[in-house]
Parts: sequence; C-alpha cells; structure tokens
Amino acid sequence: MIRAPAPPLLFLPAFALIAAAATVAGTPAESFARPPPRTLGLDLPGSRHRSVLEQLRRTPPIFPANGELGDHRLELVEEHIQFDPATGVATTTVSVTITAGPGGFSNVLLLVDEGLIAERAFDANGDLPYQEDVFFGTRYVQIDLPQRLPQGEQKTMSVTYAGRLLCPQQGGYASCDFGPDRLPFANNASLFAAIYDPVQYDTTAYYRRVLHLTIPAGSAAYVSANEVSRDIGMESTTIHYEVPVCHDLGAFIGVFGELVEREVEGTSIPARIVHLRGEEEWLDDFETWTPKIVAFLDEQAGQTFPYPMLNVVKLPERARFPGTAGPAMTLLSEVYGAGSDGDRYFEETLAHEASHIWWAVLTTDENVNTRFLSEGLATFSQIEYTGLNIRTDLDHDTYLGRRYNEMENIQKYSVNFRDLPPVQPAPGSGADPGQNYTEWAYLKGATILDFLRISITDDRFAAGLKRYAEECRLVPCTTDDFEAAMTAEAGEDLGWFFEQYVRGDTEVELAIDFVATDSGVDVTLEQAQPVINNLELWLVLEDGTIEKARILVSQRSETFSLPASGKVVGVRPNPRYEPMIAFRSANDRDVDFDAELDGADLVRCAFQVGKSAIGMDLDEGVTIASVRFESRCDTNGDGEITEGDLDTLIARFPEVR
Amino acid sequence: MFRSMLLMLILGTAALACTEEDPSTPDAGTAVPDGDAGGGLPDASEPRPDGGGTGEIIFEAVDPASPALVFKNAVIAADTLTLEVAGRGLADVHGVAFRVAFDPEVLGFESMENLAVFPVTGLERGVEARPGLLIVALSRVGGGIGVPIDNLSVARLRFNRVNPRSTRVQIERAYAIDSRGVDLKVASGFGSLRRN
Repeated sequence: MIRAPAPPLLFLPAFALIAAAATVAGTPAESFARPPPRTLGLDLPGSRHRSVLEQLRRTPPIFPANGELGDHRLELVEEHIQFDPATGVATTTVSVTITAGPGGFSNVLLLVDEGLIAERAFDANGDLPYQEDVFFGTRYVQIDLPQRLPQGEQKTMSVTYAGRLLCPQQGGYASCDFGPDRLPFANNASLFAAIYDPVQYDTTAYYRRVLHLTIPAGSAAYVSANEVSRDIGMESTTIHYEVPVCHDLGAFIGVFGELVEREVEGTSIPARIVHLRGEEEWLDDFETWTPKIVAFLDEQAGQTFPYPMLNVVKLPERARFPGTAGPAMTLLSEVYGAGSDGDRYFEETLAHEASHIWWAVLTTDENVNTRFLSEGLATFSQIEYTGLNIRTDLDHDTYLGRRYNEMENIQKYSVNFRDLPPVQPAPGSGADPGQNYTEWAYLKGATILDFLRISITDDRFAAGLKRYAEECRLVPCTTDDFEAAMTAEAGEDLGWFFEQYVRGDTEVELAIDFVATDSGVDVTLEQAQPVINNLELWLVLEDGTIEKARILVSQRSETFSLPASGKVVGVRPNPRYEPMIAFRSANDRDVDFDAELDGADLVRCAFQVGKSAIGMDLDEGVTIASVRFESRCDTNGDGEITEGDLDTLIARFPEVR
Repeated sequence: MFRSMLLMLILGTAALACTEEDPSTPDAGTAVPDGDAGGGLPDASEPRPDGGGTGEIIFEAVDPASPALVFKNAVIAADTLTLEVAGRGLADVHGVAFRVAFDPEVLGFESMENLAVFPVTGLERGVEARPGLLIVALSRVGGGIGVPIDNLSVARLRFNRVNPRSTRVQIERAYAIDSRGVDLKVASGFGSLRRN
C-alpha cells in the first residue's frame, strides 16, 4: 500500500473527548468537525482518537460514577469571559443551571483548558465544595452539592477560573497562537466550558447558552453564536452572544485577534467572511464560493439557516486547526487550497464544513457511536456540491460514478468497508473503526448515503433530506428518525436498506446477463443470497444511447423483461452502485457490461495503463485513491494497470457473442 | 443526413481507381434507407453477377451526423475492396474501437493497416471474431494525450471480393475515448458496394 505523507494535524473538538470518555466500552466517538484529508495515512483522527481512548481507559478522571448520568436537564450555561487574545490570559465565570431528574442531583462536571485554574465554586447561598483534576490537557472541575437536589428542583452553580490558556495538543483543542497578526482559536472545554454531566445522555437536554465576552480594544472576536449586542468602551469591548438552543454534540467556538470582515452579497441570510488583517489571499474566492454554498445548503435542507448572520472564517495555512463548524459559523484553513486542483478541493471542503451547520449542529444524531449523519452526510454533501456547482461539464450520474469509484477502489485496494463497523453500530456493541476512522466516518458514510439515494431515486432522497432537516432541527434525533423521513418520502418501508446496509454490512455480488429481444432485453440477475436491492439498470443501445430501467431484486435468480427503443448491446448498473455491489458480467474480462471482450474494452484499458488505484490522481477525490482507476482492467488485482494487464486481455481478444 | 459518394469504376478487368471524393456527385440517390444504421447486413442488394452488364461498380458511403466513424477512400479492384475508416468531428481522441460487419460470402477480410493516427507502438488490433465480423481497437497506451480526428483516416481495411454480388459493409458500435478518459458518443457509418 502506498500512502501519502501525513496530513496536517487535525482538529478534534472537545466533545469527542467527552464522548470518548463516556463510552467505556470503547465505542468510537469522534468529531464531526473535521474535513476529510486527502490521504489515507496513519496520522489520522482514527489513530488519534484511539490514543485518547486508550489514555482514558488507563487513567480515568474524576467522573461522577454515581449513576447520575442521564436524566437531569441542563437549562442554561452562562459565561462571563475576559480574554486577551494577545496573551491568552483569561478570567471566566461559568454558571450552570440544572433541573434535577429522577433520583436527585448532587454534582456537575465542567471541563476547561488546563491553564485555567478554578478559584471558587458557588451558588446563590455561598461557596460550594469542588474537586479538580487535570487529565490529558483538560481541567475537570466537579462541584459537589452538600445536599442532593430533589427531582424537579432547579439550581444554578458557578465556577470562576483565572489563568492563561495552554492549548494542549489533545484535550482543550484550542490554538494558543497568541500575539500580533496571530489567530488564536478556542473551543468548548478550553476557553469556553463544556459540561459533561448530564448532557451526553439526556436526549432532551438541549439548552440555552449565553456568553458575555470582553476583549481589549483593538481586538476582534467571532463566536459561533448570535450576537445580541455589544458595549464598546475605551479600553475594552464586551460582546453579548446567545445560542437559543444548543447541545454539546457540536463545537462552541471562537476566533480572536486582528480580524477583519468582508460582507458577502447574494446569500439568503447575511453573511460575512472573516480573516486576519492583511491576509487576503483566497478572499475573492471565498466571496464567490459562499453564495453558491449557502444556496446549495438552502436547497439541500429545504430552508435557510436560522441565524441572523453567517460567519465564514478563512484560517491561515499555519492554523493548528484546519477547519470546523458551529452555530452560525464555519472555518477552514488555506491548507486545503494547496496543490494541483487546490481551488476545487478548497471550495468543496468549505461546502463540507458549512454543511455541518446543518448536518451536525442543527440536526444531531444523539447516538455518539455513529458519524453517519454528520461526517458521512457532510462528505456526501461536498461531493454533491462539486457535481452541481463545479463539474457542471459532466453528466451528474457520470460525475458521481467517478467520485464514488474512489470509494470502490479504496475498498478493493485499501480498506474494505465491510471490515469496518456498520455506519450505525448497534448500541453497546463496542464497534470501533480504529485507525480506519476516516474510511468509516467519512467515506463509508457518504457511500452508503449515495447508495440509498440511487436506490430510492434522487428526487425522493432529496425530499427525505428536507424532511429530516425540518423534523430534526434542534430536536433530539437518531438515525431512526432519518430512516423515518426517508421512508415517508420514498413511499415505501426502507427497513430492507437500513437493516442490510446501515445497521448491517451485507455483501452483495450480482451476476448480470442479458439477451436482446424484439421489444428490448431480458436481463437475468443472480446472487448467492436473496438480498433486496432496488437497481437502476442502464440499457445501452447500439448507437450508444442509454435508457434507464428500475428493477427490484430479491431472489437468488430473476429474469426481467425490459422494454427498449432499440437493439440493446449492453446492460450495466448505474455506476453509483458499484462501491457497494460487486457486479459480474457474463464475460469475466468484460469491462463495459456488454458481456463481450471487444475493442471498446481494450481501448478503455489501454487508456488505463500506468494508473494506480492508490496514490495517484489527486485531482478529483478526497483521498489519495484514484477516481479514474478502472479495476476491471487490473487483471492481476495488484492495484496497478500495466501493459501486462492489457496483454492479458489481448490474449483473449476478441470474445463476442 | 449527409451523404457522399465515393466512386470506383471498373472497366472490364482493368482497375482504374478513383479514390477522391467526387464533388459533382454529392448524392448517388441510392436506395439505402435514411437512418438505417441498425446493424447487421439487412440491405444487401439483389445479387448480380459481375461482368454481366456495363454498369459501374461503386462503393457508396453513407455518413451519419457527426461525430462519427465513417468509410472513406474506397478503392475497388476486380478482386479486392479497400476501405478506410475515418473519424469525423472528433476533437480529442485517445483511442477508438469499432466493428465492421460484412457478408462473408461476398467479402473476405484480409488485413488491417494502422494509418498511424495513433502510434504504431500503441494498441492495434483488428481481428475477425467470426466470419463477417471484424473487431478493431486502435489507441495510444497510457497517458492522457488526445488528437483531433476530423476527416482523418485511422485504419485501412482490405477485403477480398470472393463474390461479385452487391453487398453492404457496416461500421458498428463505434466508440472513442478522449484524453480525459471520458467516453465519446460516436455514430457509425456504413456503405454499399453495388453496381451503379
């Protein structure tokens, strides 16, 4: 296996740590907020996540291991923060209001950067006892109530901190890039607090978040929240923010420093590009891309972003965090613009990150052991965006077939998706993609989603996605709700698909044969197991015209008589199925599904000579796997198409019926 | 439909080849049905023994709309027929494939010559898969280089005339791939060898 050099360090928001800590059995819990790298290298989130998990297993922090998780209701998190972006010095007060659930309530656990030292915990009646510990770069402060709060009663508890952010590589997930012309970044569990208990397990625990941020005059701040007002003084500015409905399965983020903004025209809600003063490269591109991306997402979700303003932050290439998203904000580093075709990749990755505002921030899968509807849906969206907005020179099906050919090649030559957990693992299964987190979360997730789409038709999928956005916007949902939305719009029970491919990993190999008839073609499909699939077949006529037909396959062997307007010379599946279904032609050396080894097969494979499945063609994919490699030309299956492979085909050429 | 007539006259047994397109005869007015590119050899004319009359033997090529692979520069001799296969309206071609269907009782495939539009070191195959069906592949090997092919012959096919009857020769399943690996939609031309 050829692997590219390691990508830049990637950003892991704090909630991932929280979720990982919560999943004692090792269930994967990673961030939605990371664009997929163009590499399958080992230095990836998966391995990094694994190290976090291993650390947590070895040295558990001061968890409230008293069975209180789950039923308390987090009502409000209000923070007063004074922060100097030039030095990283901060003083903060975090107040948490909780309504006790069944069994009562006795403690709360707050997470911040380890450099912020707790000075006091208190409530309306005075000081409260607390204990603290630093673990893996994060300071855990647990407030212990002297008396258990009875069910239904509400209490506000506060902690004050002071110190200087240290931004450890793993733990706080902030960037201590302090000083002039720098761009520090803060996430929850760093400058902003994260609340561990009980949000993760109370599926109704969406809450209100309020922030009063004071920064020195001359500095600027942009936070993933709605700005309510600002008080401008001679020495400092205080900005008041609010997130009316918030959950901790998303980053609460802010950027600071000498930032300037540029308004963007043509978006459905007001939008602006934020960047460091003097760093204007890519700004015109961002200004062009943003309206296209917002329009794409408006159409995809069926509604506009529910924010008064969208902030699109262009991060410098040197930023330690390459990209993420939060309420009303998305950020992306210039590192994505590097290399050939970098502008395309940068644009579509910005679409990926911006899509997270819908597919992770506004709609959130409450199951922490899946990334199907966050990273999977965002990767699906970026590919779709490019097909509709950048590669408009190609037929959309053809383009998608090419993009998902990348996934097919990854499976054949790198990581078989079926060796990974299902995209929605069973609760408590302990399923862990390990170092193949990227393949599992991003690539397999997107592939399954496009497989669903082609199975139920593009139009019905689009309607289902709109329904999901409408019904799950800031409402606790799971993959089951997504299935329900798709089922409603498809007009059929989609349990067969979700059981086989979302909650399961069904392997399908289908043999296709056909006989042209006077009225069209008789197509025979055979499979080892009676797996259900809704297929779009392409009937290739003698003049190259393609006519499409839909069939529902459920038996081991079935023959379908399909009408066609001319002589059918080939029957192939829509190529978008091929990452998930292994199709076999009646001729094992046939490339183009006409059941023959003919000149067109040779010419196709002659073009392929010199191509590698992995490590080439960085121009169009999200990884180093090829989008153009035709594995049917790789006669010896070594991932390289050589003249030897072509000779193997020539030795049998021609074989016609 | 664009039609051109490529003529070859046979006077007795002396073959005088006329391989240039004759602008004065843009349409021979033959009975080949318009749009009949459906394959096979459905339009074989009534067999006539050669030498039984004084009419000229001609090869009339019928071209579909561009882009297409068509017959060009036919050369008819007493016992041979030579046809060139040309591309028309193809801006960027990495390789082409096609089939040629003919009546094996009238024509016998003898040879294919690569006319070097594609490198002679590239892919060059022309094999009679069964009597009356020639399968051809011509392409560069590897890389992403394309060439424009417009009224440019890519191969010369040589047939023996084993029977003097009129017959039809059909290009089928014309295919081309461009320098980016994208399939090109290419129509197929055909032609008739018959007495004028």
